[in-house]
Amino acid sequence: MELSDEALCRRVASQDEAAFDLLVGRYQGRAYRLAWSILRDAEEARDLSQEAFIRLYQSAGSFGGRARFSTWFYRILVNLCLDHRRKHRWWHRIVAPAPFEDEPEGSILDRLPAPAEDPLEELGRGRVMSRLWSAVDGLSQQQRAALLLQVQEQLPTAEIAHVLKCSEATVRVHLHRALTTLRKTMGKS
Amino acid sequence: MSHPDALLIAYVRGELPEGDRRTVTDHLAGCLECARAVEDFQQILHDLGSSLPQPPEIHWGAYRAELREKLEARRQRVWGWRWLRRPIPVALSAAAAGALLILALQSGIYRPPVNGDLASLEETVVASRLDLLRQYSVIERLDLWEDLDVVHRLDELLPSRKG
Repeated sequence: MELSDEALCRRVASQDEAAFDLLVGRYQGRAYRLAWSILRDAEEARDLSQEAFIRLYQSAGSFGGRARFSTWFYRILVNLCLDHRRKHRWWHRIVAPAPFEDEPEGSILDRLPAPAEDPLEELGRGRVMSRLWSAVDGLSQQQRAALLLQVQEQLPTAEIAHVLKCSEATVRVHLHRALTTLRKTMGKS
Repeated sequence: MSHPDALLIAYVRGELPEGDRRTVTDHLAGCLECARAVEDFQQILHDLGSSLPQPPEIHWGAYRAELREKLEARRQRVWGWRWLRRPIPVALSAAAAGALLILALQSGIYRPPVNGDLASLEETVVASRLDLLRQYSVIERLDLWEDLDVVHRLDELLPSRKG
């Protein structure tokens, strides 16, 4: 029988290396992807997702089990990423490339899911999505994090609030403002 | 008409209790502005969810090996700090440092500084005995002010005294 994340975390707290490896295996993809979504930099995403696993190993004993393991772990990861962005904001403003241009592949069109039947229609849709995601990159950190936790990780509002260390009402305000901004950007309002 | 902005997101996410949900539904039936906003919010969330950009590929074996290395390095650092915080090793280190200091003092490796006034008096006495003012040009050339052993033997450097 497969152990739950919470059970594995309790084993990590008693220095169980195999349990730690299992948790890393389960979450490495999600952790890297979420970190990349927030940071938009592959190297930083790799580094900070690894740091989140190290923090998990070191503080597994403080996992009380009140929240789900995934929520607890995302809280570590997202706060590492937000802190990192906060500390390096001035530097990013000077040297960072435009959103989605930090990779050799360039445009977000290369990172969107593969087109389906009608290539022309898909190209048009790809451009719209590219504009939409560029607008997401322009949101405030908290708004973007709340939105990503919703659309990417499908977290309910209560868990987003736990991850971002704020109230559920604040999460709804972040989401409302984010969606209102995106709506304006897409010319829908 | 007041718009229930604070409830719209919870409505879109299906997180409203029945009473509030019915209130918002009734409002949307009569408010085109809010109805459009809800429709757009749902469309945007759907578009974002169906077009999540993928990060660059990563070699997971290398990722995990690197993670292991970082974890090991962190563990060693933590052990170093723990060792420093233990009372017995710290007491032993302090005792060893004290013993070394005593040995150094006894063997003369370490010479405490001489009291300033006493040193000045000694220099005056020595200078008067050797008539240093008269020999100043010689001493200046030798640049040996501080080496009293050499200063003490200055007389031997002067042939006139020997003769």
